[in-house]
Amino acid sequence: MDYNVYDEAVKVLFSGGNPYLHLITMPGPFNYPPTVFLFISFLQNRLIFDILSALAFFISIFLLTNKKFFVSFFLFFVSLLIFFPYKFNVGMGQINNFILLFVVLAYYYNPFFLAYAISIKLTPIIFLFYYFIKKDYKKIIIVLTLCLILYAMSLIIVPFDFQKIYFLDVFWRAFGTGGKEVYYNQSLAGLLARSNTSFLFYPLTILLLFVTYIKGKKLKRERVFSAVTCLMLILNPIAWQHQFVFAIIPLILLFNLNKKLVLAVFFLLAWNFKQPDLVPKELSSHQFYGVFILWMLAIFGGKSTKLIGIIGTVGIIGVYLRFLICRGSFCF
Amino acid sequence: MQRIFLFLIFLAATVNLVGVFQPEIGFDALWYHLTIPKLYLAWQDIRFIPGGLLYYSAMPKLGELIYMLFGANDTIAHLINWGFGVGTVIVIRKISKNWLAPLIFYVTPLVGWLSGSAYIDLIRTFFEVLAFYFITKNKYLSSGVAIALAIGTKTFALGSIPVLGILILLKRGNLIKFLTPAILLSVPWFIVSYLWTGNPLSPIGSLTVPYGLPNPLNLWRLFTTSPDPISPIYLIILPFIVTKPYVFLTAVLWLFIPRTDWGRFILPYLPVWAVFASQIIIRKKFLIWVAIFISVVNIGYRIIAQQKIIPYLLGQVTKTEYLCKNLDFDTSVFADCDGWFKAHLTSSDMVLVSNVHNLYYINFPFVHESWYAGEKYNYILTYNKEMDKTLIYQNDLTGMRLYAN
Repeated sequence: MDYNVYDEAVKVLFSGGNPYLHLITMPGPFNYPPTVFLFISFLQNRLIFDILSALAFFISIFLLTNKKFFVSFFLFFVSLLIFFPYKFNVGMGQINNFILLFVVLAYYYNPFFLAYAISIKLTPIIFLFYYFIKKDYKKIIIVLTLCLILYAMSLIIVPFDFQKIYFLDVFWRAFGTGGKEVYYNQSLAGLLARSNTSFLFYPLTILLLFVTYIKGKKLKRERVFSAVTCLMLILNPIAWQHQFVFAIIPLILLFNLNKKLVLAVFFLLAWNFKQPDLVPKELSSHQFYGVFILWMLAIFGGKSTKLIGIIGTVGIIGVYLRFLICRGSFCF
Repeated sequence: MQRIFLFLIFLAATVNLVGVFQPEIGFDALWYHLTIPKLYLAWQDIRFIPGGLLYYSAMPKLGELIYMLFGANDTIAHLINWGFGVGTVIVIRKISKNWLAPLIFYVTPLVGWLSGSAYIDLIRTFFEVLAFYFITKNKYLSSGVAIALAIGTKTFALGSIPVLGILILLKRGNLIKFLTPAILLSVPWFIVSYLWTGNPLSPIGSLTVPYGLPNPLNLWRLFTTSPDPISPIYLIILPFIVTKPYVFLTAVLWLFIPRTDWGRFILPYLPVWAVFASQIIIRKKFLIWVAIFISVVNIGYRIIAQQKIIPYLLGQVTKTEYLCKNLDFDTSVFADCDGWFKAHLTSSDMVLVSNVHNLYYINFPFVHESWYAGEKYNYILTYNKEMDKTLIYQNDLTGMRLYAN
C-alpha cells in the first residue's frame, strides 16, 4: 500500500528518524522528495485521505469540463466503475489525484499549484515545457522560484542531513535500468523494454519533444496542455498504471476533436489485464497506446486518424517481420 | 497494378511448385494423411484401423482417399494440394474480380507450406471458398454440395454450415436447397464412423485436447506469431471487415476451435477474408503498397525456407539422405537411413512394429501393435525400447531397434 509508505514516512520523521534510510514495515527508503512532507503531513487518516483523493479527482473533472456538474458527475461515476487507473490509485492510496488537481488548478488559475505539485512528485515538472512552448517564460520563473521557496520550507521539518541522503542516494535510484519491463509500467520505456528495443528511448524522446514544440507553437492552449500531459506519461521512465489518471486531462480536453477516437482511447486506458503474463507483449502496452493516440490527436488534430493508421500498420508489420526473422534463428 | 499482383501470384505459385518435390516430413502427413491410404492400398481394403494410433481412420477422409487413388505417393499428394491452392486462387478471383484478393491469400506462408505438403487443409479451403462463391451466385444446391465435400475432407467444416446458413438467411436465400445436399452428402461419413466406432464424430469426444474459454487475444497471436505464419495484412484490415457477417462469424468460430493448431484452422476462411480485405485495400494507395511489400516479404521468406530442398532437387543428395537430415526423429518416425531394412528384409518377413509412431516410410511387411490381431511375425521393430530378445539391428540416429522374435 502506497498510503502506508507516506504514513510510515511521516511517523518515522516525526519520531526523529530518517525516512530516507528506512521505514517501519515497508521495504526500502522513502523515495519522495523532502518537500512532499509539506503535503502528506496533513493527511494522517486513511479515510480522510481517500475522501479527499476522490474529491480531488472530481474537482479536476469539474474544472476540465468547464464546471458542468452533471457531466462531471457522470464521468466521475464511470471512472469509479471502470477506469482502472482511478481504481488502482484509490485502492493503493496513491497521491496522483491530488497532483492531478494541482496541475489542473495551475492550468486554469495559478502557477503556484504547479510548484506545489512538483514539490510532491517531480514528474509534473514537464509542464514547464508547456509554458515554454507557449513562450510564457515568466511563469517558468515563478514556478521555479516557488519550488525553491517550498524546498526552503521543507528544511524546517526535514533536517538537511536527512535530505542529503535523499539527494545523494535515494533520488538516483529512480534512474536505475531495471524493472521497466513490468506490465504495470505503461510508459514508452516500458513498451520498449518489453520488446527489447530500449535503445530507441532517447531518439524517440527527442523526436516527441521536438514535434510537440514545433507543432505546439501554433496550437490552442488546451491541445498543447493535453499533449504535454501525454508526454508526462509517455516519457516518464516508470509510469505506473495509477499515474494514468492524468490521462483524464486530454480525454476531456480533446473529446470534441474526435469523439469516437477519444471514446476508444478511454477503453484502452480503462482496461487492465488481470493476468498480464498471458497477454501478447505487444498488446500489454494498451495504456501507452491510449496516451500516444491522444498525443497524436492533440498535435495533429484531423490528420491524426490517418497517421495512427499508418503507425499501427507499420507496427504490425514490424512485429510480423521480427517474428519471421526470429524463425530464421535471429531473435532480438 | 493488376499486372503486378498477377506477377506476384505467378512467382509465389512457382516457388510453391518447387516445394511440391520435397519428400514429406510433416508430422501429421506421416502419421495418417499418407499412411492410412498407403495401408488401404496394401490391404486392398478401406476400413477403420483400431487401436490407439490411426484412430483418424474413422473420420471423413476425402483428401486421403484422393491420395489413395494416386498411389499414396507423397509427391503426387503435394501436387494435388498445390493444385487445390491454385484452384482456390481462381475461385477467389471469380468472387473478387481483381487479382489483389488472390494475392493476399496466396502469398500467406502457410499456404506456401501446405502447397508442398500432404496435409489436406488446402483441399478443404478450396471447397469452403467454392461454397461461398456459389452463395454469391445464389446457387445454393451447389453450395451445399461444396460444403459437404469440405466436411468430407475435415470434420471441422461442419462449423461452416451455420455460418453459411446465416449468410443465406440474410440474403433471404433458399436454406433448404443448401442444407439438403450439405447434410445428405456429409452424413454417410458419420454413419460409417458410427458403425465402426459407435461414435459418429470419432475420435472427437474421446481425445483430450487443449480447450479453454475463447480468448480474443488469440486473433492477435494468430496473425503475428502463429507457428505457421499468416500474412499480417488480415490483422491490419480486420477492424474494417470484422463487421462483415462472414468474417465475424468465422472469427468467432475459430476462437471456439480447440487450440491443437492455429493457422490451419483459420485458413479455410481466409479466402473470403481476402476478398473483403481487397475491397478496402484497393481504395488506399498506401495499403496497396503495404500489401505488395508483405507479399514480397512472404515470397522471399518461402524462397529462403525452401533453400534446403535445392540439393535434393539437383540430385546432390538422395531422398533417404534428405529425410534423414530433416526428419524429427524425436517424434518416433521410421526411416531406413542406412538402407539396412531394404537390404535384409524380404516380402516373406513380417515385422511387429511397437511404439513407432509415423509409419509411412516403412518399406517391409509389418503389423503395428495397435491393430495386431495374432499375425505371425519374425521380427519386432521398436523405437529406443530395450527388449529381452536378440537385438539384430539398431540405429542411433533414428532410434530404431530390430529384435528377432
